[in-house]
Amino acid sequence: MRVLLCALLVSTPIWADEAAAENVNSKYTIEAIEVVPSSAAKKVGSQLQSELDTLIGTKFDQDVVDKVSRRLANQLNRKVEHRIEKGVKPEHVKLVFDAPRVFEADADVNKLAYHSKHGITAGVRSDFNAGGLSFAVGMQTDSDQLLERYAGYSLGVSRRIAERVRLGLDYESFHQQWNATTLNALAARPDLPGIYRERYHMAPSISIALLESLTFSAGVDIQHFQTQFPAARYEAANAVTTTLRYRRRWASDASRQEVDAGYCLRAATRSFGSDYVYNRHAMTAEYMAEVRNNIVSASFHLGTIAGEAPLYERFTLGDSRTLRGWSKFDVAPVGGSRVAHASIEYTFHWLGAFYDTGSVWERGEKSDVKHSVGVSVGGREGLFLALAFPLRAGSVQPLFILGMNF
Amino acid sequence: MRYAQYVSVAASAACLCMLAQDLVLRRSADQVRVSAPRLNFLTGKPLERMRNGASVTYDMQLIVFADNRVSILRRGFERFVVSYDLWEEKFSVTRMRSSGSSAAHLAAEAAENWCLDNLNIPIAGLPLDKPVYLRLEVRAQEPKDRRAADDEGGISLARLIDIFSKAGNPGSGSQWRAEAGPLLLQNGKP
Repeated sequence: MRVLLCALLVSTPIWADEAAAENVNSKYTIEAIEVVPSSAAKKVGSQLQSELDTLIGTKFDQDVVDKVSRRLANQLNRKVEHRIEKGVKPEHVKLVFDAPRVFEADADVNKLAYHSKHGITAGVRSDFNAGGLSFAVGMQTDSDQLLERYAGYSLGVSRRIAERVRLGLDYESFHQQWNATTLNALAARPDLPGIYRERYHMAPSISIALLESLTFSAGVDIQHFQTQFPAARYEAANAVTTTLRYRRRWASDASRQEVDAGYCLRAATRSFGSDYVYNRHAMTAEYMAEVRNNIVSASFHLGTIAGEAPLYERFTLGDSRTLRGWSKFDVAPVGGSRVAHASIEYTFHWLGAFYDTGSVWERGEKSDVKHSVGVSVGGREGLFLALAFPLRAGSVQPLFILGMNF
Repeated sequence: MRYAQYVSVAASAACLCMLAQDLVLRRSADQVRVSAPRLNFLTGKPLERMRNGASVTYDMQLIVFADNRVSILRRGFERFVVSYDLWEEKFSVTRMRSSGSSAAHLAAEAAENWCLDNLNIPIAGLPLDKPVYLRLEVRAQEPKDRRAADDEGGISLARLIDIFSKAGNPGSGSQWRAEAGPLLLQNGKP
């Protein structure tokens, strides 16, 4: 009997899950959550992201955070550690999940689109950390974003030098292909710069998180490209860049909202050895609200260029993201120095419908506003399929778009 | 003659105690405790984890040996959970096993001292006038140990004995050890 009693005493828990309960920081409220590096944040699934969002506004609970951390580790397939930092507001903390990638060479698809008039766009990118630096290596062929199809590789290295400050250096090397429509249109526009066959881009930058939701970036954009006509020679377009980006999420048990807005200025001057002098302003804003599998999103894009800018800086509409249903070579084959675009989309579960409207025009010209509608299958994350119709007089030929949201 | 022997042993014990000052014996009417002026365990990775907002569990064991550390006369266990207040930049300690008492707003050294003040061994039955040795062992739990404990629904005395039975590495950054002796328990001061 005595032996049995001793055995019970020895094996009975004498204190329970105590460490989590006795954390003095449990009196503080979580004001923000961040998953770093950004490559890991992009891989967080929507369900887990929603769970993360619901932690905002709650008191710090180490046990809950431990469990979320383990789920993140399982989903990201890498070690995840978490920490809290002082928040912006008193008595608030910021929760950071750190999922550093060990040196490995797995690549992620970061670009994938097929446009029935433009062809395939695809890109792969690999991020890894070594020696305290974050590296990114990528390859891509893109016919969607600019007037040109560009194909080549990109290299990037960055380092966080303070809690809210990051230094970065990106390098890209591309070869270009041009659509015949663009070449024909350029022949009639001697006021525009010519095409180029290869382009090199280097961009040192510094990013500062001014507030939790507000990031300021500044840097230098050095572009060298080899022109084809009238003679093959290298030209430079070197610009100072400034970007301000606001991104915020709100979430509750039943709903989620996101705002993502940014302003970017690129100013190229001769004092930086640039052959081109121009200012390019671009503003974007996107709002998304989700309530029980109903998602409504709206986006706006405005841009203007003052001065003579290379072709890659000119605005286009009519791709897998803008004026879906139109081809950019029909909207503006040489792009424009002004752009305005708006889009609204409604998605229920995996079925969506959208309406796009916008115009690309030159300074001093009257804008020709175009519209398109369409349906999509696949939702806001992952692969989607869209059938888009341009709204215009005469015959309407739908465009087929296959893409992936990242 | 016997008296002279006792004086001789007491004198030599006091000399050795002066040489090995890792632990300082403290004694009340019914308890033995120690202080460790040169032992800092709120350091290294455990401290880094605390500064990252996590609480760290420290298991402590105080052993009284006889016969040149061969036989254990008594030992006492205690568990403390220490966390670091991000905004106040002070430590908070909770004693888990016995009374659940706690202290907050402490500097690192004060938090360490508070832990040692709350690690007691009953003096009843221990020889006051014979030379004994003291050993203090401190182990900071790794996060994975805490998870394992969670899975088991808590930690038992058997588990705690098991923790201290495993070979330790005091240089690992999460384990510390300090010793003193030979000394006489009757010489302990409050």
